[in-house]
Amino acid sequence: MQTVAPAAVGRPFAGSLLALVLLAGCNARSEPPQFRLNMQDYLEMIPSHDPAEFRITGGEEPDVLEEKQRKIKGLEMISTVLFAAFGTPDDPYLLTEVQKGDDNENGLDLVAIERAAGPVRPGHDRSSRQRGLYRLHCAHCHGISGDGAGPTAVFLNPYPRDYRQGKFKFKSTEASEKPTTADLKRIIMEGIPGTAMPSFALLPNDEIDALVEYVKYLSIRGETELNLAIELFAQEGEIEPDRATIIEYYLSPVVDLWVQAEDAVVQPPERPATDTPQQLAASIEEGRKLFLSKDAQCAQCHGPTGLGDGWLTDKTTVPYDDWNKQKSPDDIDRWLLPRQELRPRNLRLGIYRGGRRPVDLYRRIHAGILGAQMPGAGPAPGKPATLTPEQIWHLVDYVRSLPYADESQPKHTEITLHKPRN
Amino acid sequence: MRKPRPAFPRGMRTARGAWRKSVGKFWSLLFLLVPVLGVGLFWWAPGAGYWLPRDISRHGHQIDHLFYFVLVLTGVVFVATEGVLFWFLWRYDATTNRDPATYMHGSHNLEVIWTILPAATLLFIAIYQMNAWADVKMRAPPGMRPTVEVTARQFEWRLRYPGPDNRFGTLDDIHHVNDLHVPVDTDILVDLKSMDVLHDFFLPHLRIKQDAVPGMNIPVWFRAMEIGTYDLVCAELCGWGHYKMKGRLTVESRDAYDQWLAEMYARQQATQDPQALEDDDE
Amino acid sequence: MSSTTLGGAHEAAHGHAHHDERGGAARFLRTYIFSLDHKVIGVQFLFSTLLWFMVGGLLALAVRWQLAWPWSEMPIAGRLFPEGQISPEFYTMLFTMHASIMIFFVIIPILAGAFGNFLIPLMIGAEDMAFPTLNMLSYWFMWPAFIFMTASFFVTGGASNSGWTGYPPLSAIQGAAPGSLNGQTLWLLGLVFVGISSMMGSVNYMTTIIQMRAPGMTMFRLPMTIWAMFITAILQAFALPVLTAALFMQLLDRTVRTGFFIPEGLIVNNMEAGAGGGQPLLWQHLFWFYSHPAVYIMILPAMGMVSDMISCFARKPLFGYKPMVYSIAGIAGLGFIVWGHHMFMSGMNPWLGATFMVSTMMIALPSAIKVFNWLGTLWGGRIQFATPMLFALSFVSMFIIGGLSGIFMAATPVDIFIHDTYFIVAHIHYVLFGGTAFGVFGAIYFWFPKMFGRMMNEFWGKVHFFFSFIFFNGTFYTMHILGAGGFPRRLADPYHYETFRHMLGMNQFISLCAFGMGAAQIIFAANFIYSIFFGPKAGRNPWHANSLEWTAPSPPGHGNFEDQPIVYRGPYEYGSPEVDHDYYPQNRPPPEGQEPHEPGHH
Repeated sequence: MQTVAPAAVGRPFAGSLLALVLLAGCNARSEPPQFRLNMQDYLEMIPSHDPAEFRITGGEEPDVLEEKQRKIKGLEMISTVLFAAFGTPDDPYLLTEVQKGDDNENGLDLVAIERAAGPVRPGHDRSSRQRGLYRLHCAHCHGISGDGAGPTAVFLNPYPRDYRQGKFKFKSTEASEKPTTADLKRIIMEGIPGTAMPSFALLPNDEIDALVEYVKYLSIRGETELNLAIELFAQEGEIEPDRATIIEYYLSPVVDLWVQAEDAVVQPPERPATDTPQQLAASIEEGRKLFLSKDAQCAQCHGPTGLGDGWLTDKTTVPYDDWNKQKSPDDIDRWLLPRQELRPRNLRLGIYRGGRRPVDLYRRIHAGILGAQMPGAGPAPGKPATLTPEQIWHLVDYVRSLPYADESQPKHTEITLHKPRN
Repeated sequence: MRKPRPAFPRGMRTARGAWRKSVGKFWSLLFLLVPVLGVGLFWWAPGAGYWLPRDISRHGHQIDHLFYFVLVLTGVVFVATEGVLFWFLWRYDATTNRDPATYMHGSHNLEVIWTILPAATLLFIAIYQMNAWADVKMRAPPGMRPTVEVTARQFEWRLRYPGPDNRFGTLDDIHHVNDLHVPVDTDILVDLKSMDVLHDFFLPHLRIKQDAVPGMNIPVWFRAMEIGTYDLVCAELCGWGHYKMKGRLTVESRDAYDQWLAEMYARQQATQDPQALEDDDE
Repeated sequence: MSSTTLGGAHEAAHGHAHHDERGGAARFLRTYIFSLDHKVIGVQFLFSTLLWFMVGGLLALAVRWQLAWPWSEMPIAGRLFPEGQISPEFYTMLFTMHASIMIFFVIIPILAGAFGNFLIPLMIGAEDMAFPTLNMLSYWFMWPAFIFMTASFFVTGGASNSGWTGYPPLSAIQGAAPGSLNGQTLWLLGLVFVGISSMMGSVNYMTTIIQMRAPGMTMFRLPMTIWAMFITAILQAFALPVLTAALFMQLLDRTVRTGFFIPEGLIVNNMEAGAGGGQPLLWQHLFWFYSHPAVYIMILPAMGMVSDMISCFARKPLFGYKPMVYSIAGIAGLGFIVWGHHMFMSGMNPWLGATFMVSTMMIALPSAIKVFNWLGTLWGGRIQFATPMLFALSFVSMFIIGGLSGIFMAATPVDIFIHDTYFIVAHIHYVLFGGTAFGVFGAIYFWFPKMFGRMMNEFWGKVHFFFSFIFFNGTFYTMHILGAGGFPRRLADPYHYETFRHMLGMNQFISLCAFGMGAAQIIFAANFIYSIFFGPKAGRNPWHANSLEWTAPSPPGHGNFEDQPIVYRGPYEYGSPEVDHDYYPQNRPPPEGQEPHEPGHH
């Protein structure tokens, strides 16, 4: 039996009491949250990298003032367009052209997005009408805007994903593509071992679907924003803010990428037979040779023993991923999150961020990891394959065997019971 | 020798106020409310759904029995002492009590009685419960190998089953997260570990609680008697995400369990794209 | 002597003024800030701890907000949070700092620091502490702790996140929690200074009580307050070194990675934790070796003060003086061998758990004896329901609940279920809030006239008591029910779990009661501050009590007594047939030709 929560009565009462205790305050509610403009990337597009570019202090030279006004006007336009096309965190919106409907099955599902959006209900009831799923489960790390800079983000290693650049690491598609819906769902359900992303497998299926849809919404919104900014700041262009132009040049291209990703899944060819221990051992040995070879270049970063220590001797790689690379160390304060280094995986721990199935490892080696330093061994536009599918399978077998090698195992595998000591 | 001080004026000063007769009774009754409402709340709670979660384990009834035993025992002492307190306040309220205060410094016999009685009772409880404690924490099912390895980490439960070869630490281990499956009415031995900080493996419906300590392998055993799904709670503070470290215990028939294991195994060995993750975990 | 404004402090100022020929500012510093007078130091402790009491209370209210209306915007304070909701690490910080502040900055220093300081010399008939300078330092060593703890709220990552028990590895590895970045270091340093302060205090109290008693004040004529303070000081002195060692070990683990508490091969927040070779359980043993006795440090002085108040307002000698003394000693002795009961589920050898369970059961015995003796004191008395008495009675009533609920936890199999649930939260608050804090409120009302020379308002005192009592029980008694349902503590959002989802309604009720309890303290604060300046003047002995402090002026001047008191009897001779009045001060010589009466002992 459930006691009905006296939320409606309780809230103002408790609120006024607290107000009394804190001896403060009139208006107990602050403004509803808004999406944050993607200043990080805008600033990157402006040659001087100076946030003051967007601030009028008074006393500027007329031409400087004009330039600043142009930029500020540009920001205002971006914000207006985004508001018109996507709404607010409490009240999301989609133009009909990108909305799922009878005539547009590739669009986003606004009903699902609305479920994920909004504030967490004070009553916290978990009925099917629950809203605020994103803010309940995700926002404190990924941020309300999906910028990967929620309040908790700064303490995490690695940082939560910033959806707004539209780049995702762990997926079934080629590196340059978006992830599929199933990929996002898989990440939410399984979590990402080795990071702070936990598993949400126990949420009801429809809630996970709503969250996936909301992540796509935030990502599409963020990339549209970027497209507009590139036009305005990087290419010094002009934007005609009418509906058709916005959709055609800035919004649809992003949505189309998501649609086409569904058809860009990497399907590995049948693996060489490893049914007998001998075959498996042979494949592992083959993989070991490849791992150390110049062709595959695995050892260069992951180290000759796979401990992830290759970078210590080989300094040619930049120890940052795309999200951290753009942060220059000298003006670190400008960034919401300080720069974080990237490390190659220790392959002997048995922790696989993108999944531990053979097919996952195949895809990782085949396509590489977008945004990180891991290159793909398979063919990519403008780049021939460095390894054959068969070789990739050998590598998969080798990598999968590493955590179970004798030297990787902890000393005690049998558990000891508390025995009465006589 | 100093001179004795002048006698202090008798009676009460303004500071202590003028006592109206009913005031003392009012406060006495307030203290009477403690046992009345105290017992009342415990009377009301089970019916209103606030009570021990249903026990589905084989050993849990011992714990519940002890809980009720202690509850009744302490309940009696509670009502008795609080009742006596109320009665003394009511009876010896200075405004209505016509008798002078008794000038006494204690009673040797009473002290002996109320030392020996509680001592005996407490000692009895201590001995009475040893067996239940031993069953849960000391007497593991003999000669058993762990059914599943549970590794807690911030903020999830990483699970590992031995796979078809029935050994841990081989390529065919089955990995899973948060969703602990066990067969019904079977002894389960969990090898409990932690990768980072302290966690606590708490199964409220099975009356199981054990900290997971990094650097230690701690055995936990239980036998679930009812098919269903139950919460697996982290009950030791493990960081900011402590609250979301939610797991689930799925108790299922032997057949369903074997089938699930086989399915998990097949899925984990996938070399082609499976649609496996679609629409499961319903 | 006149007593116009700030009570004891003022009087002390007069005392000093005769000798101090330096400038006004320096004199002000000597008399009010760096005073050597035990009364001024006591009052300094009292003001500091009451301020921290407010801070700790507000933190608790924020915790209650989150538990009743999770993730929804908090009124007023909600603006502090960027996403409009309490973030989970902020919630973790809230309950960590609530407990840390309440335990280390409020309860321990208000008992030993404020009342210990103020009462010990007055009650034993001494003119000051044995080591006045050490006494002053014991207060001023609290200040680094205050500063460290306050600063920890503002450093990157915020204040400590690892619970007031600071269990490693969560606390010892910097990447494990936001609060473990810098906040935990400051927390550890803060505790070290609290420890130094307590140690200075306890050495001083022990020496003073042994050496400086007035003529005739034998050990068994000491008021129960002094006995409790004495034994508390001994507990402190023996247990603190262990805590201090543990604090430094954790500090080293955090800063130079010594690895006392860190086992090998940990990966925390995607970073390897370092050398290893340690054991997390070692911290728990060391920490609880101090912190379990600390539980008694946090209640024994309150028990002593409550004994004095009950005897005074029942107008009757304390029932069983010696059994009371022995049971305090018994609690202290047993208190050193029960620490393992905090660790039943910790992975400690279960055989060890079984032995700790027996000793834990036994420690309930002296507590029970004390309760029976308080009841015995009331029996046949003439009970006056003054505000201090109401608080003292509620101490007894609440301590019965807190003591009995302890038996559930001591029973190891039951503890398997209720460990780390709200049952524990209910228990500790019944002992420390319903017990100690109510005892302290009573003591403030009781000794306020002696401290400041004025009375607190009785009517508003009773109103304060009434609402505190009602809301306290509404808040914490219901938590037993939550605990019986297995509701775990320290979760920012327990309603993720189906098992606990239906408990939201009860949590909202609890939170409303908690807010009510918080609001009731405003009455106390107003009464307290108003009465310091405008309360009715109190005579020397407004309650007609027996012990020596009531023979000194209110407030006592520097040196306390006009002339050396000589003690003829114990402090509880109310209703003695030897005199006409119903009280018989300890220093009143017996009537001519009559043998001094010593009450019979057993």
